[in-house]
Amino acid sequence: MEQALVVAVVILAVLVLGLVAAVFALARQVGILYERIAPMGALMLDGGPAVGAPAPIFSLEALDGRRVEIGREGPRSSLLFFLSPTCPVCKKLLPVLKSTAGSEQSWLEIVLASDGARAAQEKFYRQARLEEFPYVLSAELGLAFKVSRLPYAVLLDETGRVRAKGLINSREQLESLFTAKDMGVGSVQEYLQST
Amino acid sequence: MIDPVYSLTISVAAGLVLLHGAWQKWQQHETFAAAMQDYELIPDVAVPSASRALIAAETAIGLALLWPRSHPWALLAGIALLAVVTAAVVLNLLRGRTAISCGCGGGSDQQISWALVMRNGLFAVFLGLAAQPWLTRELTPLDYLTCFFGALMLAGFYAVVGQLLSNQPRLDALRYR
Repeated sequence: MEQALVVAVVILAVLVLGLVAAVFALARQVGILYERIAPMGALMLDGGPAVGAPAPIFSLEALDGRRVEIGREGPRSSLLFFLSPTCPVCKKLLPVLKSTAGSEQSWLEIVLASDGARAAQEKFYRQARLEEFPYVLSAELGLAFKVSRLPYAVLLDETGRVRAKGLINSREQLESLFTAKDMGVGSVQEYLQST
Repeated sequence: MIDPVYSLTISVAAGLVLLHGAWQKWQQHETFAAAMQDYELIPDVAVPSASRALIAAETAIGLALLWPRSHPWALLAGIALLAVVTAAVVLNLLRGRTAISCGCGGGSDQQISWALVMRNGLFAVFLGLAAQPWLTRELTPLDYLTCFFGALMLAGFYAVVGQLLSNQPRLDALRYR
């Protein structure tokens, strides 16, 4: 009798463990599926200078004293990345920005932009080790590009025209801006409408 | 009074869960420390040492739970640990900061939510049940078998709940586009 019970328990236990493993695998697959079917490109928000239009011209002083020219002709394209010390997604993207700055440096300069209390910004700038980037504080810059949600990025080409822009939540979305510039489309919405 | 098999099964499962969590947090210590900083409950300078202390506590309690002699203190310590981390989650939910990573398992992008609070509450209730005094009876080999498989199943269900919780924000992101 005891032997029969042991065998029954073992068989049931193995079956239930198998089911738990299967449910876990399914839950993981569902999670991956949610991520894969999400729109890959950066979502463009309405407002601000349109793609193809010249960007408003700014001349700003970065936190470390560098002079930053925005919207003028230059040797390289520039990526304006709007962020804030209080935005968790922005922090998640900092390593992505650092690696992008390295791999794309032949044609791209990255400028970080924010606004708000200078002391908190400087602390964030030091703690996150952002010294390689110019970091500008300007509420007017955010207003000019109609930035309403963070993190937001605008890609300007060598002539100072807006090439692509959008809300950035991942490396893929950041890279979608570069692809948009290469392909000559402004955003994922425009691409979807044209196909 | 509770049959020792129930208590042992829950203890071992909880021990596995805590050790696995501590291992993941240790593997991705920087991500965990960043998540802890995002909770904005302790000064930034205290984060590195506090995060190490939390991982150490989790490891110690996890090991103690696997050791039947530490009953019921390991279970009570486990409830205390859960209470501390869940209080941190609740404070941030009340402040309306739901978009922060929970830091539950290192790099998993599970965000904090009331569902997470409920999961931890249920976890604590199980630990509380297991902390009851034991009925005295001889344990047979079948009992050990039940403990072994039961603990694996409970830990597996815990993993499933964690996975579903981390799927939820991704589903929400799709729904509102």
